[in-house]
Amino acid sequence: MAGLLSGLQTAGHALDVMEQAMSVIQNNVANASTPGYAAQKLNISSVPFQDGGGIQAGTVSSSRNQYAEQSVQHQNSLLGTASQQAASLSSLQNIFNVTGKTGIPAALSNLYSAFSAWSASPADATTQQQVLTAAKGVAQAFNSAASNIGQIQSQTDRQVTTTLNQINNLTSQIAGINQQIRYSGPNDAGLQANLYNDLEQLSNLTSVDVQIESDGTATVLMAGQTPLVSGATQTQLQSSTSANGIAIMANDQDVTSTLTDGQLAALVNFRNQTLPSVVGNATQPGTLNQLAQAVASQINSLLTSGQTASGVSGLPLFVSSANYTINGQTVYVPPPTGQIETLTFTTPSGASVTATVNAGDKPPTVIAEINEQTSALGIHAVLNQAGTGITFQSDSAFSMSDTSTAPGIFSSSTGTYTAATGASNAVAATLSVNPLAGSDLAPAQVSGSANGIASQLAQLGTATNPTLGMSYTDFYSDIASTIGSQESAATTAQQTQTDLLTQAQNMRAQVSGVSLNDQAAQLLQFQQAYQASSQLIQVISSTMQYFMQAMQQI
Amino acid sequence: MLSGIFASNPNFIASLDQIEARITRTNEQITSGVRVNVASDDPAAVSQILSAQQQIDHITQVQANLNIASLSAKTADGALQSASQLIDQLVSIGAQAAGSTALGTTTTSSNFVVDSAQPFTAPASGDTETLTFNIGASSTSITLNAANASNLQAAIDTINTGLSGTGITATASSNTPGAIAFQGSSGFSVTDQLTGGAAGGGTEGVFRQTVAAGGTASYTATAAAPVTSNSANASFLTAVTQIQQQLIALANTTVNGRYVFGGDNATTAPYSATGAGWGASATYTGATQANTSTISDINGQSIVPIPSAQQVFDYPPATAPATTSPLPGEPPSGNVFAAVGYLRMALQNNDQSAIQNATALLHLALGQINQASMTIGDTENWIDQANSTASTALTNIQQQLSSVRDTDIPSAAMQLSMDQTALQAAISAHASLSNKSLFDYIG
Repeated sequence: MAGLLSGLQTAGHALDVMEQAMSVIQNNVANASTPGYAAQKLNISSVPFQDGGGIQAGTVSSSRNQYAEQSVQHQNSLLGTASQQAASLSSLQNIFNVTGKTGIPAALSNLYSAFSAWSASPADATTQQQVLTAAKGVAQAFNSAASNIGQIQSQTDRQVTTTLNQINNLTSQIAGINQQIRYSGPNDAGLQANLYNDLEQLSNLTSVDVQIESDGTATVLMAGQTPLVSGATQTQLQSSTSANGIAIMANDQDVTSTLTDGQLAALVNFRNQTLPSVVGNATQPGTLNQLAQAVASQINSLLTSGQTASGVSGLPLFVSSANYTINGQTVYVPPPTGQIETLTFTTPSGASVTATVNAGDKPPTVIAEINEQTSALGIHAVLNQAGTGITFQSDSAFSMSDTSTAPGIFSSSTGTYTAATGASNAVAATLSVNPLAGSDLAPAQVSGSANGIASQLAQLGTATNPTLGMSYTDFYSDIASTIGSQESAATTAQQTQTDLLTQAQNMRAQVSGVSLNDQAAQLLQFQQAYQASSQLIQVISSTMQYFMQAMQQI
Repeated sequence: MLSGIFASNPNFIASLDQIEARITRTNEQITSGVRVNVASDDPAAVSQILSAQQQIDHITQVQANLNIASLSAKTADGALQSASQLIDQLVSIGAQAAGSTALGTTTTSSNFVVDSAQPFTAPASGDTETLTFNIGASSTSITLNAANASNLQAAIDTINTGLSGTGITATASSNTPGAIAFQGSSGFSVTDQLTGGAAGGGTEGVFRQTVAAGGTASYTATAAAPVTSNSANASFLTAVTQIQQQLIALANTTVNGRYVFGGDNATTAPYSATGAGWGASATYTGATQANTSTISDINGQSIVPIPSAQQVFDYPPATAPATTSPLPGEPPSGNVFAAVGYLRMALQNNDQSAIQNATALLHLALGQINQASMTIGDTENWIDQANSTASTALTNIQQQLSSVRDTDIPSAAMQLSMDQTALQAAISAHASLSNKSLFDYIG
């Protein structure tokens, strides 16, 4: 009888175990689609016969595999890099038209065609005006490209801020989960699912290394170096923008150089490397500015070496921040009767010339008189952009002293002025056309062909630019194709990484995913075991009934 | 069945994304006809595309320049043929005049003359112009200003009022439209003193001197002596004068507003018929004696397409003689206008020998015209060759550009069809997959 009672207890205990097992299965099925969830299993062991036999429930174990998780996180980081690179480069490459129909190539081609038409009719006011109009088109094309890249730069800065906010939110959530894990233990499947879901999202934004501590909490390092989460402590990331680019700060430490993969690393690399290589920064001019400067310098150099039909020295067509400039007062005032304004120009090498502005001299006479003296030093007087005052420009440094007390180009006080220059990385943004009249354009070579300069200008479109070492078309093509190659490689990498991430996710699902078929089979198994144990209890109960009735008859 | 409702969803969606991206790109290529819309479509082709496009623009503009030059050259050639015929007529006139028995029988004299040879421009407000006529020991001054000489007739009237009793009269010039001529029965000179007002200045007055605001300008002209002409040669002189004018008109031939013999300044008439120069033929107003403006082909090779008017009609340069009577020495041979002027003066002076010499000079001038015509013919050939080379190069480059840039429509259409089929197949295959699990059967 004691054996029957023991069997009844064993069978009853087995029913409890089966219920627990089916409860785990129910939880697995319910979370089959929960992001970050890993299938769980109730460990069941047998009880030694001498202890009564039967089964007992052990711990609930997770099927999560850290290698599979790390693989997914790694591939996700690489995908984040490639996706962001493709998106950023796509917007950048759209600025560089490659059909030759619009943008910088079309504007430059129009200008050289205008030079060609001008060379055929150098005295024709229409062709002169075409040159000025086409030159304005070139300036606007460079201005527009620089402006558009500036917008992309601002947009990238905002994206970095947004990405940092996302990272900080995720690390904050992970720190919170860690705290809950400390209270509830490491085996809570729901907390684990939330933790790994956050880690997977985080890995797309930046590369992370995750260490699971003995208490079940996750320690997260960015790129293996910068701690983002340790226990319940989170490190906030911040950005700092300077002339050299954008920096990522953690605990007031610059961690930019440690960034490797992920969306944030791609954004920072695009902001600090790719964009400056095109549009320049404090340490480099950038290819777009190099192109603008080379085009403007070559054209200016030729025009200022020539002369107009009336024998006046040519004036530069383009002006930019790269020029050394001294601005006279906004509105030129001719010196009064009996007064002469004397200007002495000096270069760093000591070369010096003196030009005088006579009483009553008005533009363009005054400009022609000054240029007759200063052109030898590469210094040119032109009207200011408003067309009311006079500005002096040169590709090289120079200074100027005004020894007169009468009003004229400068105000009534005497003074010495040093030419100021802007940054070489702002040429494209500031390129503009001098306010010249068509007759100021110099088509003729000095003591040479009457259209020699115009003809040389017309040939520049296909000639090698000495500064660039190649034609402007090839240089522009290099800029566009470099960006295009990077975009193409990033797009290909994005597709590849999408496949690799999917493979890693599939592999993880094979190991730790919830298989509905498997869960159904286990459910059947435990149902049948439950029914068998129930039947056993019924048999033992019937047997005990029989024995008890038999005892009553005795 | 693995985790989730459908474990193969991520793979399937990724594949669909890739197929749809290919379809979108192929669609763009077919609809635009261009294979490379952005650099990433084919980075290696960017340089070829832009270089080809730049060359096409360059060649197109060079062709436009060549077409303008070709039209100018053809027009110049036609003008020179006309000039050649006119010189033939002059040779014929010279031959007839040399054989005329009427020569030297009757003479007429005209007055002493000063022809301003410049269209009159009224003095600017505040400016004054003082004309001082010196007749022997006496002089008469007349002051013109914006009020009393507002136009040609007002100026003539004012001058004639002031000249009353001097024997000198002012009339409209018969040689230069808008100019004033002064005629007197005895010799005289006229000094033109132009004074610019504080706010005035400009190029103005009877002799169109240039004066700055507040400045002065002065010019003195001495009346030419009366010309003795042979009345029997009058018809010949008239014919020569008319042909002179026609030759000047030919030297000033224009195409689309450009003077074909304009040399370095095609916007200014090369000659003005001012009565100066050899035999009052013409005055050169061009920028330089020789044309230095070149026209280039697509390779940068260049030529000077058309000689300047002075190179064609007025070379070697001939300084106008100080006097026309007695007849000066012969002008340099080959100079067309000088030869014509010499014939005119020879007729005026009734110099049979000079008429014959002038005829010989006209033959040499004809050679000069023919030489210029040959030069222009060579230019036309050069332009035709340059145009042909440009057209061939343009066709080749357009083909190269098309092969690199344009969409291969059949291949693209095939690719599009394949991708659409693949898309439909993928969706169908995915739809046919069972989404049931064991749970569906154990109820």
